[in-house]
Order: sequence, then C-alpha cells, then structure tokens
Amino acid sequence: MGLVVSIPTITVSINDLSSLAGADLPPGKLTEVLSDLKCEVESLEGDEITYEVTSDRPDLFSSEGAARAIAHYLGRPVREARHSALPPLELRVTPSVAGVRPFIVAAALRGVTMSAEAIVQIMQLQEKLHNTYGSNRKKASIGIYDLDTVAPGFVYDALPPGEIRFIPLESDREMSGREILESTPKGRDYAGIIQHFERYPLLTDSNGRVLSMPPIINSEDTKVTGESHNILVDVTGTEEKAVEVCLNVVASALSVRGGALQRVEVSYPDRVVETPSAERQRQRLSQGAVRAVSSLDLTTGEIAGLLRRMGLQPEEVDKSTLEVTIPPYRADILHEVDLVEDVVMAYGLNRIEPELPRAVTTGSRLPSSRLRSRVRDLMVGMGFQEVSTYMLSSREVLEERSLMGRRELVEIVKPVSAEFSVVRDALLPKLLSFLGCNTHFSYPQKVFEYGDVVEVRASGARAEGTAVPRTHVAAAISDYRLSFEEIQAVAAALFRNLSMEAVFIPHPSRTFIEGRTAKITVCGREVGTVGEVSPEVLVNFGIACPVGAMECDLSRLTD
Amino acid sequence: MSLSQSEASLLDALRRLGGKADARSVASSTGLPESSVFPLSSLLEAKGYVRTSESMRRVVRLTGEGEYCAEMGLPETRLAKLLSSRGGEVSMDELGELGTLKPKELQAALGWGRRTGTFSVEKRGGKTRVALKADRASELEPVLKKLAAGGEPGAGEWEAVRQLQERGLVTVDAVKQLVMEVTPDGMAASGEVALNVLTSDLLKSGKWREVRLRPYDVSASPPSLSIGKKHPYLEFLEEVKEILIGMGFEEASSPYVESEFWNFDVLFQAQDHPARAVHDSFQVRGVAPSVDAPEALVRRVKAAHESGGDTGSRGWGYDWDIEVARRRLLRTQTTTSSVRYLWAHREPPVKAFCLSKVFRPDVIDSRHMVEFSQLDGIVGDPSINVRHLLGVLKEFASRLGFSEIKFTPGYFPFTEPSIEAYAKHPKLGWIECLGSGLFRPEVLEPLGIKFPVIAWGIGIDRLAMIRLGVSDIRDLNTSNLDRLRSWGWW
Repeated sequence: MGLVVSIPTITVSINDLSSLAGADLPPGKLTEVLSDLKCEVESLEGDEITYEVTSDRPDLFSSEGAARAIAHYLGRPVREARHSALPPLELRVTPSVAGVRPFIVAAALRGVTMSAEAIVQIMQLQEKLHNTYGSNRKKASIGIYDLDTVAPGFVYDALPPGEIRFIPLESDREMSGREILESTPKGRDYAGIIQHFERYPLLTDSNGRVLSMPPIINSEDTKVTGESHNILVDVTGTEEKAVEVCLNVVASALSVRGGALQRVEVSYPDRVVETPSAERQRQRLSQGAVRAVSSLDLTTGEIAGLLRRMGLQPEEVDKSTLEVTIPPYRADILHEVDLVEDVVMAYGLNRIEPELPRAVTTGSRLPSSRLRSRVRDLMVGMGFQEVSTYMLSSREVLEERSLMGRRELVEIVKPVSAEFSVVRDALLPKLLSFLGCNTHFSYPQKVFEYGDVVEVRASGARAEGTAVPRTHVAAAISDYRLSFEEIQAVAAALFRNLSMEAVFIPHPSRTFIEGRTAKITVCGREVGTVGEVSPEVLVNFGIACPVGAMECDLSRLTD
Repeated sequence: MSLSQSEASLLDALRRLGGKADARSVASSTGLPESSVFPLSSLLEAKGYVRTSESMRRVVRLTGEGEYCAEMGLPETRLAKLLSSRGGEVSMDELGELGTLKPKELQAALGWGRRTGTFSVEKRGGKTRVALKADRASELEPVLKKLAAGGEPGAGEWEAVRQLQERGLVTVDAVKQLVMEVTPDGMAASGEVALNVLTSDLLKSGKWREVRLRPYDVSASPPSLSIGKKHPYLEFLEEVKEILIGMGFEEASSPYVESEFWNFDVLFQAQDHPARAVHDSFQVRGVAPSVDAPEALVRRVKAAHESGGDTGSRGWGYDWDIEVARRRLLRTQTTTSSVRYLWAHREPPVKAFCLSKVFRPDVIDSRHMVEFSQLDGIVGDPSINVRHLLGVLKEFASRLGFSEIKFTPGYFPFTEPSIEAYAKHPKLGWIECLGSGLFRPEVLEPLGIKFPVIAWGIGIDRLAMIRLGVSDIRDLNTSNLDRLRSWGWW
C-alpha cells in the first residue's frame, strides 16, 4: 500500500461549483464533503480550490461532476440528465482507420451553457482523462467542437499525411499533417503515437471540413468558445473500453451544464453502434454483503438511501437485495464490493467503531534474523560503526573502481541516473565509496554493513540468468598505519564467536594487495575474502589511508 | 592541608638536607626531575611550608683542551713522565722533535715547573736542556680529573679551579639557582599525603586504610569516545518490526527482483495501467523473464482480468498478455510479499507482514528516493471486516506513538473498500500515515483464498524521518561518518 496510482489534481472555482451544485459551500464544509468523497483538498485560496482525486473517479475530474456528486451527497435535488428529441447524428468510419486508431465514439450536447469557466473545466477534464484513462492520449483522446460550425454526416478516416491540410488550433495558417507534427507544440508532444503510420487519422464533416487529426489537435475553425451552445464530442483510440469511459464522463459533464444528449450513430464497415450506449450497467447488492464487509447492520431501505447519496439508483428486488443502476459516468463498479464501499462512504468511516481482530496468532521473525542480530552485535562489540548504503549502485563502483571486474548484474533498463542503475552483488565497493566520502574525519575509521545483495547466476544455456538474493556482511578498517592481521583478527573473532573456526587460505585478488589476501573458509566452505585493499583501488575511491577489509556471504552458512 | 605525593617527597628531602637546599640537590635526593622542583616549591610556598629564594651557583665546565688534558694528563705531568723515561734530562730540540707537548703546553709546564722547582732549564754545551729536579705531581691533576668525572669542586679546590681557568682548561659560569628553606610551619607539618592512584599493592597490603585519595575535578568534561554502534535508521526499522511481532504478525519476505505477474497482475492491476509503464517501475534486464507461478494460477488471474472469471466481477475487459506478466522488475511494493504469502498460506487465520526495500522511478530530492522501505501487513480470517481494519490501523498507529487517528475513503486497484488513515502529530498536524483496504475478490479468488483479508501498509521512511529528526530522506542512508558517529537517539 502506498502504491502510487496517478493522482490527478483538479482546480475548480468555488462559485462555479456552488452554482452547479445548487448549494452554498463554505470552505470548511466543502473540504469535509470532498474528503468524504475521496478528494483530498490541497489548497483553498479565495475562489479557487484544488483537490487530489483518486483515479477511480474520473467523473470528479472537473467541477461539473464534483458539483453533481456533492449535490447528491448533501441530498440536494439533482436535475436528471436531459435527452434531445432529435435523431442521432451520423458518423461513418472507413476501413483505413482499423490499422491506425480503430475506435471512435461520439455524442452531441445541445443547449449547453458555456462560459469562460466552463471552457477551463472542460479542458481540464480532457487533460486529466488523457493522462489517466487515455494513457497520454494513446489509448483514448478527446475532441470537442462547436457543433454549429460543422455539417453533420461525419467521416472518420485515415489519410496519407500529405493529403491532410487544415488550420490547427491556435494557428493562423493551413499546415499539412506532417507539418503539424513538426511545428506545433501538441504535434511535437504526441507525434510518437501516429508518426510511424503511413496514414494519419482524420475527422471531417460532410463538407470535408476538418474537425481534428486525432490524437494530435483540433482545427481552429471548429473550436468551442464561450458563445457555443451546441457541443460535439468525439473520442478516438486503441481501446474500446477506455474510449467509452472518456465519452461518458465528458458527455455527463456537459449535461450538468444543461446540455441535452443527442446520440451519434457510428457506422463501421462491419457493424453499427450507437454512442454513447443507452444500455445501463446494473449491479446487485445484498444486505448480507454489506454486513459481511462493513459489519453494519442496515435495512435495504437504509442501504438504498446511502446509495442515492452517492448518485446511484437502487431498486429493491426483495427484502434483502437491491438492484442498482449505475450512471454512465461511473467506471469503477466492477463487483458488488464496489457498491459496499459507496455505502460505507455515505455512512461515514469515522462512525464505525474500530475493533481488533479476534483470531489468536503468534508473531515471529524470519529465521535469518537471528544470525543477523548476532553478527551485528559482534561487529558493534568490536567497535565498528554500522553503515547503511543503498542496494542500487553503478557498474563504475561495483566493477571498475573496485577492480572486481565485469560480471552479470541485475540492470535497470531505464535508470533515473547512472549512480542507481544496477543492483549490488557485493557490499565492499559500497563501503569503500563510503570511506572515500569521509577522508576529512578522524582516523581510525571502522565501519561495517550487514545487508542483502542480488547475484545473477547463469541458468544453463539461457542468455539471461536467475536473480539470487544473498545476505552479506562486510567490514573495513582504515587508519594511517594498518596491518593485514588487524582485519584478519576481526574475521577470526567474528566466526569464533559464532562458534565456528575460520581458516584462511592465500588467494589472489585484484582488489587486494598481492600476498596480503586470503579467502575465508568455515567448515570447509568458502564464505568470504579478507585482505589489505590494493592502493590502486584506494586511489580509485579517493581514500588516502590504508584499508583492511573483509566480506562474507553469510547465506553460505545456511545453504 | 593535604599534600600530593611529590610535594610530601620534596618537603621530606628538604628536612633531611638540613632544612635548606638548592633545586639540584633536592632533585637528586628525591629522584624527581629538576624541572618539576620549581612548580612543586611554588605549591609548597603557597601553603606556607617553604620559602624560596635565588642564589648564584658557579658551574665549572671543561673546555676541549681541558678534556684532552684530563685524559692524557696535564702538560707538566706528561713532561715529568717523559724526562723520567729519558734519564731525567732532555734537550729542547729533542722535545720539539718528539712533539709530545705543543709549544704552549711546554710553556705552561715549564712555568709550573720553575715555580714549584720541579723542572730546571739549563744551557750546557750549546744546547738548552730541561731536567727533572723533583718528583712532584701537579696538584691540579686530581682536581681536573674530578671535574672531568662530573664532580664539583670542593671547598678548598677553588684556587686550583682558578688556575685551570687561567690556563684555559675550564670555564666557570655563574648560574642562578632555586633555594628552598623549610619554614617553621613546614617543619611542623605532618601533612597527610593524598594519593593520585589507588593501587593493587595498597589494597593487598592494607595500606589503603592509611591513605587518602586526592579529589578530582569531576565536573570537567572527559575525552570523547569513538564507539561501535548500530545504525539509527535500521534500529528504528527493528523497532517497527518488534511492534508487529508483538501484535502477532509473522514476518514474511519476497524477492527483490520480481515478475510483473506477482507485482501487478495478481494484485488485479490492469496491464495498461499507467503505473506499469516503463517510467513508473524499474524493469530490469539480465534476469530471465518468468511469471514464477503455476499455470492454474496464471489461468485464473488471466480470467479475472479479462472478464472477472469466477470472482463475480466484470473484470477489466481487455486481452491479458502473458508476455507482459513474465517481464522482470524490481518490486515496487511489499504488497507483493503479502500475496505471495497468501498463496503459500491458504488456511485462516493469517497474519503476516513484510518490511523491506521497494524501488520506484522518481525525481530524487529531499522527500523522494528511488529506493525506500515499505511495510505491508495482512490479516485474514472468516469474520474479518472493515471494523477490524480500522482496529488494526488504530492499534498500530497507537504503538507508533500516535493516539489520534482519522480515516477517509481512498483507492487502490487491489482493495475495496480502501481506507486512508491520518495520524495526528503534535507539531506537524495530520499526516497521511497508512493506506489500507480489504483485498478485492479478483485478488483473493484466483489465489484460492476463501476468507476476507485486510491489507494495510505504509512508506515507513516518512515516519523514520520524523522519529529520527531528519529532514532529507537521503540522510536516512547518510554517507557522512561524522553524522553517524555523533548521532544519538532513543
């Protein structure tokens, strides 16, 4: 937990919000209500309020949806979404979009009350949906147009970039498809989504007038202004579900602004779909499920009341079951438990009395923690300061500076910096780095670390290996004068006090001085290395005093 | 008034030397170095036991020439010896040829010889001859030898010294010296001696009963010790683990290098969810891709994602791709450890935790680091519900020292309901503390878990920073040795 789900931040005008909700919302009350609705208020200054909203509630990405949710929650009357009596608009899809950007849905909202603030909100809604459900426009992208500037009988096609020419939003001249990708800010940002295709998507009206080149940019001529009354929304993309969610949320928001919904008939080469779908999602909720999950003993009537406060439409099926109709702008109801959460939210979490679980269990540590405890105590007892370094490191430290040589390591594909680009398979290079940072402090310096590393071991003929976690202890002494015996004595004392005898066998290593390094074996098993660190390695780490060091793989003791 | 051992020693010596002596005599009598006599006498003077004054002392030193003569003999001694060996007489020319005496030395010898009547100089047969007239040793010889051996001139020897000085064989310098005289109080003082150290001998001999130990200035600061110590951040993590053990949780672990299957798919996180994009988790190379799970589990998870499977859910409604699930990454959350634990422990009650490292791409600054510690805990049992979740969160927060806690609804892809808990800190106010919830059926059902499980967790580094008084997350793993050495906390 503490998983980072993309957390959108939404800014709305309190006046706008209040007028849409039909309720007066003093700041304290507003903060409390939003918090009950999973929205954490970040700042409140004058007329502007900014809140964080969880990504499962896209309907709250703008003030329209927020106002509607607040109105329901406070029990204020909420006007039902209006439907236009007009027949559906027509939109034809050509075969060429299939390989480029296959899906499109659309809707028209008639009689919308636009304003400067409404434009700000609808743009914010677009942006937040693009970032989340749209996966930065790749999966879904939204276009919004002034319906009165276009002639219905729309065509969704894909054309060679050279054949595309229109004035993009915020420009004053016509550009070709490729030019738009190269010279407009939105073009440059999102070119990656379509530039490799031979054809770019294009939405035009019955006169051939370009509405937009999805997912890049709308045309300047068809844009929505404060004077627009009738709005057309389209959503194109690579995933049908994502595209539908976006349309539902945007259409619902515009319907809060007074728009009456007019559907669009989308004719693909092989099927015809009316969007947005008139089908309503229905989900059953049982009284038993509510009790089992929340511990609350509520009647179906009480449950229904709570669900209504969350904007849902429950109907009693029998004494203990409700069938709930889910509004189109709610994309988060996958299972009965999702409704239970809404019940709990409306009831109030802080009204539920906490209770500790009754089951009797005994606590325990991982078996490896005993050895860890002993070893750390022994090292401290020998006067060593414990150090904690990061598990992430670099090849420069682990291979080059330490002279330990190139080897297989767990490597991050897209690291944020070279310093943290591989996972350490040894502790000693990190200790040496540590010593290199502390040459101006007093000597002797005695440091140790006990920690996990990850080795990569070849697995048969495969190119890539297996990641094997190991537990190591490493210690280093640095002083103006130093002898091999000093560090060797530490290793010997460590194992003796674990009631094992360490045997030292001469062993060459580029990291240590020739003739002053040994491998440490315990019960016939090689467990580590000890020696005086080579001057070349010391210089590599910027250390100007001799260092005696040891490193042991303690996992070998229990292998 | 008590005296230190050295002071008592000096006072004793003065009394023994007749009540008055110079620094040198006292030093040799007590065995104390001459340099410490002066400060000790000041201390005694301050106590009124001794009166100090200065006097001049003559110091006699041999010159180079004097040392030569001390070794080889004065010129007159050498001349007398030579004359004896030649039958009592030698010509001046011969003397010159022999070179036993330098011209100056000869002069000095003859001068002494004439005065004392030991040598005579005669002219005979055209040659000047020196003859031994009397067998008489130079009275300067013994004095010179005495001085050469480091001795000092005795009372009657100063005339000899003057002569030696005239002859350039010694120098005489006047040097100031300290003279101490015991006062009547000092004579009477029976000053108890206060010792510096209690020794094993004093204890064994019983003499400890007779002596006093000198008081020290115990308010003075002692030297600073450099000691072996555990790391405060690691000790804090141990403390947290102890709390969990005390609450009956079993520690669990899981691999650092994980498969996307366990890290995301089992947790019902859709494969096209932004948190799985290459910039939101650390995908790795060098490790063979693998879901690391049996086929039956993979099938059920796939079904849950695509259509809900047998979980009673609609599912996410997309095509689940096993290739995505096989990808390797560094685990982004310890909840992964919790679900692996559930897979291995399918009978209730279940109570486990994992406190370990997780890895996420981020901008590195004072509040964010790509590698940090996270705690995840689970409780599973047939009767578990939201009430128990609130209870566990409250109890854990209280054991961490937070007595006030509040809850708000939250969202995680793998729990429903989800709850965020905030704890009240005396200075910082409400801090976001814990994320939690009941595992979704889409998570539990594929794992074969037939009872509710609550999951809760926290990015523990934030609390570590508060507890350890650190304002930069990177300081938890500081590379500053001085900081570690001087870091005290409890």
